[in-house]
Amino acid sequence: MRFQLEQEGPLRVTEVDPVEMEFLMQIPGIARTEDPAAKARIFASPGGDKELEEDWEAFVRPELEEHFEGALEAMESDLAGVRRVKGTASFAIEPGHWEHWLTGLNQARLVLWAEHRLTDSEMIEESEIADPQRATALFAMNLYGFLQEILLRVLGEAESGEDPEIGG
Amino acid sequence: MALADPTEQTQVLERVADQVDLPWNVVAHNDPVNLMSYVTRVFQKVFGYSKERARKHMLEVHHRGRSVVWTGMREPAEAYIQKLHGHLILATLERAER
Repeated sequence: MRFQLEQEGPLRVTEVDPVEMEFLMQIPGIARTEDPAAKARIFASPGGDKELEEDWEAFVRPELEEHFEGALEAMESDLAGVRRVKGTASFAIEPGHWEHWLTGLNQARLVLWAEHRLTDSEMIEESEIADPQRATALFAMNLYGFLQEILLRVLGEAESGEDPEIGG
Repeated sequence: MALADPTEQTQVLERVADQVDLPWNVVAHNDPVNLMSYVTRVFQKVFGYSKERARKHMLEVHHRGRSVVWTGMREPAEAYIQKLHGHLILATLERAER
């Protein structure tokens, strides 16, 4: 997977392995979970007092739902432009969508963690997981985490005026 | 017209003063999933902190389980909590100790 940031243009992600591309295509679907544990994590309590909890449910939660959905729709529009050539895929992340990708990747990682109840030790030592579904979930979490790290690095360098090209 | 009980009035005023004067803490909590670099960036963006200060809070969250990332009036504190939740950072509002 390679990343090329064009000046005032999109972040181009090229040479994406077909399997990795399939995992990336699944991000919006994973993030739009109905799993109660995952939803409880995504829409966590703000603490404070009863008044805040009630206001939060009535006014803030709908705003957060809209915010998260907006991020996923932005990701979907970038993913809709995927080109598959000679066994690899490529796509572009539009400049206005970078923060949406960070949010969407994070949401998908949190959902996978909560849905599959992955433990701290399993996240450190992948070989501890015997169940293929949970192992796949951890693989996806790590892939999304890798992409998040790259995106953070690219954004950091873009903000400092450098012109990064990163392969991974 | 009945005159209000002055003791009751005093209690009400004390409660109002308590709500107005008490500062509130925005507390960020540890999470095994969020990347350290991501949390640092969110603190920078939400609070306008330098990278060093944001990283200090991130490390406090990581090692101690929580960090008071901002203290002040309730209304902006609630707004900061909402912003942090918008980035999927676990954060709660707590009364600051006097």
